[in-house]
Amino acid sequence: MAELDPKTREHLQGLCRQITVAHELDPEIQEELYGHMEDKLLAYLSGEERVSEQDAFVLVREHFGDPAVLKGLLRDAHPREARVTYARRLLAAFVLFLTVDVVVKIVTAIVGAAGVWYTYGHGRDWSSYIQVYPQLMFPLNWASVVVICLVLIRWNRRTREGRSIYLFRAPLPHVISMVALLLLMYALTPDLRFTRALAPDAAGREITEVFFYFYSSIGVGLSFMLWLWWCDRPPRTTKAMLWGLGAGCAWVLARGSSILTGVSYLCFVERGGHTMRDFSHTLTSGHVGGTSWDWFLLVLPTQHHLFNASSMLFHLQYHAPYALVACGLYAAARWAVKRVARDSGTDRPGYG
Amino acid sequence: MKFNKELVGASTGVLVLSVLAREASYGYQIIKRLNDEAEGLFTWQEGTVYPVLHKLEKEKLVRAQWQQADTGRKRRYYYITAKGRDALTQGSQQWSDYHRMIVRLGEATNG
Repeated sequence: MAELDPKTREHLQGLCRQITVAHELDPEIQEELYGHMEDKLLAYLSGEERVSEQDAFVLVREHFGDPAVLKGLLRDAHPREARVTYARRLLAAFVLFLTVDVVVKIVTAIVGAAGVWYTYGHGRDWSSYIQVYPQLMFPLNWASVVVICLVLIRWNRRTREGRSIYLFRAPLPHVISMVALLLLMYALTPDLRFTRALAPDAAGREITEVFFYFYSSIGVGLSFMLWLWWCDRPPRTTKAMLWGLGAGCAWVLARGSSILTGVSYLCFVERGGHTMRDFSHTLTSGHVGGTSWDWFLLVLPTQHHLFNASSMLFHLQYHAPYALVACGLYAAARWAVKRVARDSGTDRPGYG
Repeated sequence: MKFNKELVGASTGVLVLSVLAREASYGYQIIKRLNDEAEGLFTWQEGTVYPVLHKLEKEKLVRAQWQQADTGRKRRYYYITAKGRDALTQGSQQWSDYHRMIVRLGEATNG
């Protein structure tokens, strides 16, 4: 006759006692229940009793331990990610991108103003300045992307650790006021434009073209990829990603349209340039010719719209393809990461 | 298809009596036989058989006796009484009539 371990017997007796004492039942019933449990246990041990799915579940649950204790331990090991709505995430990122854009625009304006001072103030030739300009602006754009990247990584780490960031917990009216203020600053900061970039037939075209290609690829492409990366967070849904993508595209296009660009264009025009020829013609009262530079402050509505039209085309021409390429690169990178994760067995659920 | 709990609950007494009518048995064995007969259509919650057995005992439909099982351990065996057999016949008849009525109604509805 198979015998149970004394400890197991004690456990069973304790269990039966619990049932009978709680209900003030006859000790005989306790004995009867004990007999049943003993039979069942021995049947399991001998294999006579088949382990059903429910039985297996009970075993698994018991072996796994108390769910409440486990929950506490896991919570300690993995602090809950700071809860924040998707809209708040986008808004926080928008504040960051806008702040960086405003700073870049201010620095650009300062560099441009330095150029004005350097050339008009001292009667020097433009060409030397126009050579230096990209070399100043190029690293600035790189730096702006690096700053955005570092800030987003920091935010990501903080939210994973369960710590919130100011833009997540700040009252919504404050954040909206901040956005409004930044948009105003963006609009009011003079936008210094060198129309050589819009005049392909002008001298020095190569360097300005190359400069704008780099400017767009880094300023738009990489920052757009960063934006997508920031949007691509749990809970991953196709709808959420489309919202993020739409918001990113809207911002890229808005930067080049008349929505955000203000009235204060300080525009440097090379008279005789191709794209701005008619415009220059109007401003110089029909006197077109030569290759000297002229400058003016755009304040008139007609001038404003005319310039914005070309500006928008410029952005569509240069920014939209980079945004598209960025989307494609991001999708490819994500696919590659997921494939590697799947091969190594560490993949996570994709978009829902 | 699995039987619903209410249906099983209403027939428990008759089922236990049926098992005991074949052979005197104790709690664990009764459940085992019922589950075997059920062929997966339902599974007994083991603890629930004892309240039923004790109720049948109080109604004198069964009587209990401690005796040594095949395993060598002492178990509380239940024996069906004459009153129990009558109750089983009556109960079985009721279920049988009920079953026939349902089948008839079902055929009328489907036919």
